[in-house]
Parts: sequence; C-alpha cells; structure tokens
Amino acid sequence: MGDFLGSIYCWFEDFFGLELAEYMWGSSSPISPNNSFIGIGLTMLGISLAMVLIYYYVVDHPRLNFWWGWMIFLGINAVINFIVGWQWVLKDYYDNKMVTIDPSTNLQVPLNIGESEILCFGVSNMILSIIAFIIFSFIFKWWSKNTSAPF
Amino acid sequence: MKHRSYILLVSMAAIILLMVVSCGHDKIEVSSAPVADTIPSNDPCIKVFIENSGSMDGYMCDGSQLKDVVYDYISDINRVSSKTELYYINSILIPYNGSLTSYIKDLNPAAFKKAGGNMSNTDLGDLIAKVLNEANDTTVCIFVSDCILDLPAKDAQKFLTNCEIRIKDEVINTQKRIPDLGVEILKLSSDFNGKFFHPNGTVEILKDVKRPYYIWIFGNKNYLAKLNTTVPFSQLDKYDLSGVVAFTNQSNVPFDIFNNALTGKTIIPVHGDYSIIIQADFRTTLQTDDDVQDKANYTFNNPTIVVDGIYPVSDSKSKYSHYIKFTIPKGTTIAQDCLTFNTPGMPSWVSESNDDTGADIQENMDKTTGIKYLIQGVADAYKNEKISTTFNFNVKRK
Repeated sequence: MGDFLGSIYCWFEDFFGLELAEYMWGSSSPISPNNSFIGIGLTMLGISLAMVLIYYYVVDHPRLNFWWGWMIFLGINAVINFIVGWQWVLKDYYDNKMVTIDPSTNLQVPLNIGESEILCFGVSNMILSIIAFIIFSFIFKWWSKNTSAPF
Repeated sequence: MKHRSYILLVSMAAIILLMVVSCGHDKIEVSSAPVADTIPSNDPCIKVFIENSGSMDGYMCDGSQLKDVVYDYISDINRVSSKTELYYINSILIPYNGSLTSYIKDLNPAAFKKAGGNMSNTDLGDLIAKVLNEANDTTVCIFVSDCILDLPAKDAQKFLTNCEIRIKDEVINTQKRIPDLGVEILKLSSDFNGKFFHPNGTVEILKDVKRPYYIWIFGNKNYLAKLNTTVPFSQLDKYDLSGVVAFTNQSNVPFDIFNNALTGKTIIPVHGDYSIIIQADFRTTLQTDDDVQDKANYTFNNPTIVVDGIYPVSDSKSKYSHYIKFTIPKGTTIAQDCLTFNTPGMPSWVSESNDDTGADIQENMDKTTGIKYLIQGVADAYKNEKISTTFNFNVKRK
C-alpha cells in the first residue's frame, strides 16, 4: 500500500523536490524511517471519499444537482487536502525530523528541504485529492438522487 | 450518459495504472559479507635508525627541522609503542642507550663521530638491508637518511640500476619473513649547513640552504596503519613534508554498504538511479588520502556503475576512514558486483626529486642523487600488487 501511494505521489516529485520525496519514502532520515505516504495518502483518500459521500448521500439536494454544485464540493475537498498535506509535512519540518546523517561526521545535518517544497507538496496532495474525488464520484453517484452531477 | 461515464471512469483508471507502473519505484536491497578489522590491539616495538654518515652533518645545525621531526614524531609514536630502541647507522648499527631527548640533543657531527663506524662512504642498499633485517612482524623500523648515493665517477647509470635491484631483492627477502610487509617513504626538507660531496670527490660548502631528506618506515602494514592513525602524516606538514609514497600487498579492509542516508540497506531509486554508500577503513592499504580520494583509482566489474566520489570520514569515533558514493544508473541490472581500488602509480614527486648525476647541486637543491632508483627498487618488489583492496557486494530486488 505504501509503495502504491508513494508511486502515485512520485508523479509530482520533481515539483515538490527529490529530497522531500526521499524523506517521505523514509529513506533519508533516521528519525523518520517509515513511509509517510501511507498516512497522508490514506487521509487524502478518506477525506475525498467522505466529501463524495456527503455530497451524494448526506446533502443530496436537488438544488446542488448540477456541475457547479459538484464543483463546490470538489473545491472544498481540494482546499481541505491542501491544508492537511501541507500542515502534516510542515509539522515534521518544525519537529526537526527532516535531517540526514552526514557520512563524514556521522552527525545529523538538515535535509535541503524548505517551506516552499512543503507548500508544493500540499499542492500535490490537493491535485491528487481532486483526482480521487472525481473517481469516487463516478463510483458512488449511482445510488444517489444527484446522479446527473457532474454529467 | 451512463455509458459515457463508464468509458470515462475506465479511461481514467487505465491512465492512473499506467502512470503508477511507469513510475518504477523498484527498491533494491544491498548487502556485503562482514570483513574483520586486522589492526592489532597490542603495540609494536619501534626501532629508530638515523644515518650518521658525513653527508648528514649539514642537517645537524642549530634549529634544524630534521631534529624537530625526529623528536616530535618519535615522541608521538611512543604512545603506541611497547618499546622504542634508538640507533645510529652507517657501516654498522650503533645502539644508543640514552633517552630520546638526549638522542636528539646528541644529533651533532661530534656525537656522530664519537658513535663510530665508517662515516665516509654510504652504501644505501646495505643500510636498507640492515634496517630491514631488524624488522619483524611486531617490530617497526624507522630509518632517517638524506639517501644520497655515492655515485662512482664512471658507470653511474649501471650503479643506480644495481642499487635498484639490490633494494628490490632485500624487500622481497623481507616479504618472505613478513608477508604483510609495508613500506612508507616520506620526503621532507630541512635547514642545511655543511658539506656536499660531489661524485668526482670534490666538496662544496652549502650555507643556509634547504635540503631534502627521507624517512623510511618498514613493518607489518597493520602496525603501520596503527601508527598512522596515532600520528597522521599530516602532522608533519609543518616540517615541509612534500611527498609520501607507500607500498604493501592487497588488503581486506572492513567495510559496510548503506543507502545514501546511512539509515538502512534498502535503496529507493531517484529517477531510476540508485545512490549507494560504502563506508570503509582504508588504513591498512597505507595509501595517502589523495590516492584514496582519486576516482581514477577505482573500477567496477560492471562499467556502467559510476563512482560519484570518495570522501574522508572526520568522525574520530568512526571505525571507517572514508566513504565512497556511487550510483547504479537506471536500467542496470546486477546481482553482485565488485569495486576495486587499484594500487596507485608512482607519484610524480619521486622523479621530480631525482638527480641522476649529482654534479650541479646549486641547480638541484631540492633533489637527491638517485632517490628515484631507491624507491623504484621498492616498487619493483611490489610490482605484482596491482590491487590495493576490493569491495564485494550483493544487490537484490525488493
């Protein structure tokens, strides 16, 4: 599962940086040796699924049964996932987990990751959440009254 | 409408699947067999020999760096020696029974003369043979000399070639007694006030000049490595150390292999390339930092693998001296490979320090008559040692 989610996030590794990608894989920091894509990826999928279910089965209102109604929920999902992805990784940054071992001194040195890369990761998480929202919409809309949204 | 949505969904699923597959995050796992450390915990016996022929008198002036080096270096080495013996050497070995301090204090022409032996002629082949004869598996010999050969007026080239062969023969004979024999030769410079003897028998007085001299260290390479750790040659830089060359047989050096961050042995590719680190203790190879860090000295069995660089480990608590970064490029499939550290060639300072005739000392103040042939003699004894060490490792798909 971690490999699958990591492979999906790797579409954007040039965007948010190879060092951050390696950190997220758990291969560069002795403090964070686990695959971080699992937690963030599952959270992103969970939030997207929840938003789809809320739109089609909780709200399920005829006034929102248009493409723009669906777009409002897609937008909310995107914003939430941007904030979650950004803040999740930013927490590691402020907890000083983004370090590696210098083979020369055997001391910890900071990875070359800045706040801008972390912001880009939030954007990547947002884009993936939009894709997840679209896929979940096509999977779960059939039993709702809003079957004509988005198409 | 429903049909169109299904087509869209299937198309998206296919695109996502294709993108996931194309990402190719195939992890690999690297491993290697452990290699034991060969550097002994016990201390060697040290024997120090200073040549006291007439040509060495000029180095014994006040403030001479040669005296400082011997005093400084030997007192540091005393930390890891079980016993230190001091000698003068010319046609005979002359043991010195006093302390190191008085030995240094007595480094003057008068004391040399008093010590005895034939000081007028120096057969360096003979001196080196005597020193080598004193070395054994637990005894390290340090020989200090200007290494000037007494060239005959005729057939100088033949004499030099004979010297080279004599040294080679002596080293080979010692290798039979000490299979792990290592030889280290250091070139330094010191103030010189004294006589220079020309091959034609004339004497030239040199005043306030700098002249080269050499420290030869013979012994089991594992003990030499231990001494080098206690007193790195870099400590002698302040004494005008201008060249180091070392010879020994192939070593099995302790090493381990890791991912780029030293966090484990699983390597995740970056754009398909695998970055790997080998941490190794090169000390028993006796090679200088410059040679160890020269990428040109390394070859992989699979030539597509690239050495990115070799760097020193500065952590004094680390059991490794250097680390090697290398990359297995995208598309390279290997199950096992071997990184070879080839024995470096003769450094350029050896031939640059050589003077074939000894006729014009003013033009060759920083050169030594015939030094190239002496060192080449040692190199000839090690000519079959083309590999300094190897690192075998395994690669497994994960």
